[in-house]
Amino acid sequence: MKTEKSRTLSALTSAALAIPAVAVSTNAIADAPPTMTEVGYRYSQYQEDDIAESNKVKDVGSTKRYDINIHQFRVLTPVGDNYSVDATFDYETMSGASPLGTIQGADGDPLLVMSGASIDDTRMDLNVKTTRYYENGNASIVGGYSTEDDYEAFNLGLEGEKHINDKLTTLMGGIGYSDDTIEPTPAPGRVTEEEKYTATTFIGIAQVINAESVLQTSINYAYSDGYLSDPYKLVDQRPDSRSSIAWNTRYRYYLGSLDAAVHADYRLYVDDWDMLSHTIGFEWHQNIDPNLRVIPSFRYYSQSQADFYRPYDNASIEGDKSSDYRLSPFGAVTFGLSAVAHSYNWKIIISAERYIADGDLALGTVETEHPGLLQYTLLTVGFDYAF
Amino acid sequence: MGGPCSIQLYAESENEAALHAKSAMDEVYRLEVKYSRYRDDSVISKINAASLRGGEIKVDDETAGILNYAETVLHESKGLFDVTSGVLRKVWDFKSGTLPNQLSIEAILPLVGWNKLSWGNGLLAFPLAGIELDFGGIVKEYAADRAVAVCLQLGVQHGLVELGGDIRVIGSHPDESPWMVGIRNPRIPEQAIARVPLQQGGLASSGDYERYMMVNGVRYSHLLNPSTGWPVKSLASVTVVADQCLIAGSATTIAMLKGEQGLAWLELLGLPYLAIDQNGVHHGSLQ
Repeated sequence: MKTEKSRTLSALTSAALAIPAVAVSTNAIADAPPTMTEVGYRYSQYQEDDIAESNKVKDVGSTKRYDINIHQFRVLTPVGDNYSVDATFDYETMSGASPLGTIQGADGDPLLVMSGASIDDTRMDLNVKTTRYYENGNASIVGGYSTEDDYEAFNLGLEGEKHINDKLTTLMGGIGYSDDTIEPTPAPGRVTEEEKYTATTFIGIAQVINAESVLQTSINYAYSDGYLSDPYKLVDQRPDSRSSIAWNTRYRYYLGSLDAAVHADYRLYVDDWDMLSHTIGFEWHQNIDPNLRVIPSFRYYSQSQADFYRPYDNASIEGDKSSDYRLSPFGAVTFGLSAVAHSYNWKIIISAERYIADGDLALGTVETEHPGLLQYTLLTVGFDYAF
Repeated sequence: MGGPCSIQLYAESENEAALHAKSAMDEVYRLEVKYSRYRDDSVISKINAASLRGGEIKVDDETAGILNYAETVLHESKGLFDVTSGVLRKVWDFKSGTLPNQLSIEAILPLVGWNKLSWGNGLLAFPLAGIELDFGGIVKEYAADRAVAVCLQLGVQHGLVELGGDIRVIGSHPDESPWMVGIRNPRIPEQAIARVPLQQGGLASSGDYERYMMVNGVRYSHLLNPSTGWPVKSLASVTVVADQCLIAGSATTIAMLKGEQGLAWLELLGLPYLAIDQNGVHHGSLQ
């Protein structure tokens, strides 16, 4: 009896188990184009805080800095069995004043020379990425065009990913090229048309460490050649080339017991203008319920100054010089909060971000803080819909 | 896949669950397309076309595995569960309410019988033209197992796949409580007659209520004996639990085809089962 009983069952079982498990392509493990078309829209309002009257030259220019309204449209769609096209279009309108330079004030601290609040510009930016999917990877060609009243830029790039090691490891790399032309509003002594070229390349690796964590690291190299100065500044002369290396590391850890995930990022940047910066970011992705995720975030940034940076403009100095706050030493913190409500085929996003730059936040000691360091608020609402 | 299909999964988010469920459904669709009798481009249609020519056909590894399984089931059922018996469908029209005449059954019986084709080394040959293969009773159950395999591959730890009444679960609910599966009352099929807890594995049911006709007070079900071409006098319904849905499904079919010996065969098989006989009496360890 016993033998008979186990014999039939084991005959069926071994025949069933002998049916070969065919390779199945699933969304999560194979490289396949998206199965649905996704459209998205974001509206962002970027608002820089006004300059304190005490930080600028009295009665010259505006205290009002940039406000930018950004509309972003996105379409991601599969094409045939092996391709996808991902296109984004940004339409931005900006208005406000920007620092033209700095002079030394009566107490020795620099004061900003602000432009009038007359700067109004519209920027349009189209980026298209076409991806071909293979069994163990993908390859993309990216192209972009961006235009403003006084600026035009083209870019082209190739990127690829290859999965190895049972898709636990992903190797990635890419090259890019861009050509930017600036034609500033005419003014005496100002350049009329200048160009710069930038070549970029990156290589990276992503490793699934276990079911809960993923680590990704990449090295990016960029080389720019051409006109790298700011034509609107009163005194600004920068080197005609710049090479930079950035090392990015991203870590994702899923905490199952809390139904939350931690994203921790670090970026180290160095360039041959003698600038070095660190960026450390944390995001906490908390699932509140199956349809709602809340994401508080924090980012810290610190940079050293460019070797030709000067707190005050002095046209008589020979060689390269700039008083641009972006080249000054400072540190910054960013606090963010986003909420994402989502279902199977739609997503609604709302987020707020507050950025504060300050000399005291830098890692080293900043002797002379730039009076034009930024504070801004960024609010975004948007949706994605798949069909 | 004949009847309602559903997938229930637990995942980190609804989005993720939906994505995983879609991957699992894609696998079910893949098998449905591959083995559907109703699609000209299916493997089954190609096999049957080769049979019509009296020719031969080389099959892929997965189909070979299924054919090997079909051969095993035939052997273990002593010839009762035969994937060539689907052709009897042509004379048995259960919707008509009338019995086929014996002559038409005898005319078609020569086309029934696995031993009339040749199978081995990936090659299926039809010395006798016109034999049809039908993987009903195998592919749906196999698809449930495959859908679960896809979910497991994606890291799903708790879920349930149901394809037209055949079920395979992935673990229990996250709180370790079992999935509760309702078993149809064979005489009032829209009602559950029992509820069976399922912690793991597959569950399949077969009953004389699925397709049948009553003629002069006698029930004729779709469970046809391949050697006579007539319905067997079977149990009213059989439910079996096994590690794989495929095995549970084959066991229920064989037990039903075994007729009066069905209960004894289930006892010998040793898997948990619930059998309901024509008098409504329950048998087996799943009560």
